Amino acid sequence: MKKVILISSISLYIINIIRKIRTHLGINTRDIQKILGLDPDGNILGAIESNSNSARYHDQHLNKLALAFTTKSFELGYKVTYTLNDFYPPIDFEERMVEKIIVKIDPKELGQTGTLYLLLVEESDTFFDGWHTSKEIAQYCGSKAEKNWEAKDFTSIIDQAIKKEILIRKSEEEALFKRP
Amino acid sequence: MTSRKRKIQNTTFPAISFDKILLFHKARKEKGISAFECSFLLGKHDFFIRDAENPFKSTLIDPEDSVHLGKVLSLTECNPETSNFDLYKLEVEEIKIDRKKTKRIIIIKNDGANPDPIEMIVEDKEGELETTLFLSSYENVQLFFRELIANGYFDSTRTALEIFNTFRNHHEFGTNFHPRFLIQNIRYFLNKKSGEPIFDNRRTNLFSRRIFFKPLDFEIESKSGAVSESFIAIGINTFQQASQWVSDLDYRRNQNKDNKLVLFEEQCGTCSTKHAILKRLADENRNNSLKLILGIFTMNSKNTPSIKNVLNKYDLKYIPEAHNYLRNHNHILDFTGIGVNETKFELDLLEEIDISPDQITDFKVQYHKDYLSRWIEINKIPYTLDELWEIREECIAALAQN
Repeated sequence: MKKVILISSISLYIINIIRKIRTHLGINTRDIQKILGLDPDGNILGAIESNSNSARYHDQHLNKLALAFTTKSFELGYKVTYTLNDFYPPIDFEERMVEKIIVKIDPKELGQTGTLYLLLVEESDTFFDGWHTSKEIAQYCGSKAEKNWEAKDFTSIIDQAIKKEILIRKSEEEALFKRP
Repeated sequence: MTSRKRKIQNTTFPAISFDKILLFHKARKEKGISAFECSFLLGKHDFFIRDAENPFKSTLIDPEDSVHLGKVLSLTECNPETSNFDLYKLEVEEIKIDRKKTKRIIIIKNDGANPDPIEMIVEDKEGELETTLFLSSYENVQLFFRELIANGYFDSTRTALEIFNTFRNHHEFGTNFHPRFLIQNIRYFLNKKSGEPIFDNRRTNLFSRRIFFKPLDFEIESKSGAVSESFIAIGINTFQQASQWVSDLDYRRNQNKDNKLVLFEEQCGTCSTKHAILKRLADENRNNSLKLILGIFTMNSKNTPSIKNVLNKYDLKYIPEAHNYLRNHNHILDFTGIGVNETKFELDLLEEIDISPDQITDFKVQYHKDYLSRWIEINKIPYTLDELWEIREECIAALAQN
């Protein structure tokens, strides 16, 4: 029995834009908990990005996210400084009640980090259930994002993913990777 | 030298929210729009902005109000820069300037924060600020209001911002228009003592913003039909009086719903017979705007607490229930007389259609059952239509007991 959750168009806009930016930057639930200073085992993102829960962000959340997204963006070399204005809709945005529908992100909108993160974590793509070389990962992500990516584009991104324990390496000798 | 009362207190406040309040405070001061005028255009209570600017109050400006204020103040962005602080430690000095005026001097005490004192005057409700915006005149603004009223603009509900934008989009007032006389005129058209009480402002919209409209009313013509004649016969001469009479009648099922004068005979009714008679009255008097609606809404333990046990017993979160009401332009009118909040009700609506008064019996039941059949199938509800109809009857019985 699906119960439609209604939310303000402004809050929904913010939720979806945060989802897009955090995916682009490869930021997961655990990271968000940490950024917002919440229990690492909690899942505020699960509630906020759920079609069946009316949870939403407020400005104190957005301020912390803007600071953290900026740091991450510089780490990844995108060098974007975020403010709350990047999360808000334009001023002429219409205020109305809408069904809470969380957008599905198209890999074509993302870079390498975002695409790997989207497929690996958000969409639990089965490709990552098996061992793959960085070249295969680059080609697979590229095919989804409709881009021509090479293994070298993914070297540091894969290293980061291993550090974040969302990807494992088979052994010192074998450069094969899969989901833990 | 005059002696001034000074008081210093310390408090904390969410830093980003405080910076946002300062941003709006600066913008409204530059335009000469008072705290009360801003609150009014926001559709909130008279002291909303004054409270938000008071660091000892917990009123915050949420994202919805931020965008709304951005529109009011014609800003391009409605947020300050990010803040490295979670909370500001504030030292607040309040100085009584005169009997009515208080000045607040605020210093952010966090290490690394800008230590410059921030001055704010606590405004009283009717205080007016100097402005460089175009004020027009009270009379000219009223002339345009009368034009809007005559053109049916207020037959639909309007927020203060919508009205303000209508003026700003009019060549005589323009984008630089100041809302002072607009607000004064809205208050004039609400004032029962010294104004012309044309507007109703008892409702808020789904964002708790006050809305203004001209309630539907017309004179009942005695020769226009049987329903009109029956109302006239009991001394009721206008639609407003008729709707009040209907609303005051007992809420009880009628014996003969097909009799269009049943309310007069049985002195009771339900949503269907009560609204059908008002629709007939409107039709007889050639009013084309009023529509009789059959709506399907989620009847749940939140909007109908007395059915909680029945829903729990059958493990249902809600049951789609049929309800009749009226729609005039963009708003719902409910004269069932059981305290339905039209704004909240709209949130629970699943679908609605226009019907004619003679469709409140068989058609309504069939439409409702068709909806339930589809609902059972789509949601894989573990009951047949007949079983669900029985559960619904149990809910209605529980409701009637209350």
